[in-house]
Amino acid sequence: MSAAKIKMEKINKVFKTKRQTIVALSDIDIEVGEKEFIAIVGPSGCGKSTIIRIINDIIKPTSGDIYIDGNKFGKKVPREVVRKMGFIFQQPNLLPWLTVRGNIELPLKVFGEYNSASKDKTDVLLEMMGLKEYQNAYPSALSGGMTQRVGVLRAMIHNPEILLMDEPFGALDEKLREQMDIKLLEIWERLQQTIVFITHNIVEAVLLASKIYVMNTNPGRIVEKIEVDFPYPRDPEILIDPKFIAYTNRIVSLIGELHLKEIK
Amino acid sequence: MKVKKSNSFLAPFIVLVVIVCVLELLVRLLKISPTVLPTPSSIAVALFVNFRQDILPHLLWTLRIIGLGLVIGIPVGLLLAAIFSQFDILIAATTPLILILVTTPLITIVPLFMLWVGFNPGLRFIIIVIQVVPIVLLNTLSGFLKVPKKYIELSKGYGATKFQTFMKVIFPNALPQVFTGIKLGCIFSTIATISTEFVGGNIGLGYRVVYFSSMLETELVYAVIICIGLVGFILYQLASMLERRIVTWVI
Repeated sequence: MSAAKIKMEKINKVFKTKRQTIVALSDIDIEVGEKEFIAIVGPSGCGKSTIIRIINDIIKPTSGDIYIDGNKFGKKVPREVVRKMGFIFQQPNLLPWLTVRGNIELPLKVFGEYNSASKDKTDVLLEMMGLKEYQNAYPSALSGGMTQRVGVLRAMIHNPEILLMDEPFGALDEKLREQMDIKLLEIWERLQQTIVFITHNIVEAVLLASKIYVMNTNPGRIVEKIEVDFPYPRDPEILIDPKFIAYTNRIVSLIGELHLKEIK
Repeated sequence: MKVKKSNSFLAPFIVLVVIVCVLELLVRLLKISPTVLPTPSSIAVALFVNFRQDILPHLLWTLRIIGLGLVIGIPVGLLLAAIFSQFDILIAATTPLILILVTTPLITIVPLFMLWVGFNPGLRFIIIVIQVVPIVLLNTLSGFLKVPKKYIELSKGYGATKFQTFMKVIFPNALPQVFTGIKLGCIFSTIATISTEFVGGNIGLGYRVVYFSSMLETELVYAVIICIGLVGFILYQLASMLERRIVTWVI
């Protein structure tokens, strides 16, 4: 079997403040295959966002090893490898002093890869997302949905091999979120990237991922790995499949049970 | 509240005209002595008649000192802020000193300064630099230090170098504060320059105020004061214009 695209081995993250020590992540083992779409689901505070921030070197783990494409990088993934990743934030996190176009092209400029061809590429993407006429607008002039689309384009402009998504549709209402999920699946089936998708929405996780890591709090840890046995391309019909409901119930029981244990 | 562009010019202009007319009337009706308060019209005449010979050379001199002070002080302030922002220890160590420099009226060091460098008025721009640097530094530094964490995360997440993070995130994010510093620098450099000219020497608008007062040329005193006011006002407006051209994303 070929090496995993992303592998985390015994990752720990401890935050120390003057008053207390918080174990944010405890012995995290994760494996994501090439072109696989996985989800990490868990209650808030379980450290799921920290995991993807460790993968692209925003946060440094206290101990453990990260492997990308089979290469062992220890606690720090080097810059060249980080640049193969795209990160989509929960809040779009656009820079207010850059226009829509400027925000989308930011990664290319940081990488020193901006050239005359980049402009055409941005044009195509803007057209695709229906943002063409807003290309010179500042983010403050856009609606929430539009800014999130800009955030998605920024994460895709450099054709990343890995997409790290931190509750990207968490701020959207139920219906819009479902539409975006379907759209994301379409894009993924076309571009074949490796995706790590963070969410606290269990239905969303089961709909999208082929593998789900269920996490819980205190300390942040993985309590179960669930393989979702629905073939791609997926139809929204599966939402009412008994098997689908069984998966969601299983996850609810995992997170719920653990919460009860803690209360005792 | 948004004001229409034409109104933002017209309204203050009307206020100014009304004030001048009321003053003119009051001074004439109450028969106030021209040595105490001359009529606006006689001030205008004095300004017009004496401008080229008795005021203009001093105006140019004052502008030169202010200009030199700003041209040196602003970049130095920005550069120091950039360096300080990289080292917490430097910030902690120098903040009290900078605050003292900002708050101490610089007129107090002018006599000392003359002891150090002599009476050459051409060197007075150094005092302006001492005034402008800490003001620009303080404001800019607070901008550099107040970067939302999420912007830093974004930058790190794309593997940006420290320098790239500074140029693409920290600096543009601080631009509004940078301009606050520059605008304050414009105001304080004008005040400082006039103050130094009050203390000694025989050139500059500040010196002219002292000189005309001693001659009881009250109209000319007011005329020079108006010039000084205009210098500060125009400098501030220039900085604001530049700010509007550059900081276009803030609404």
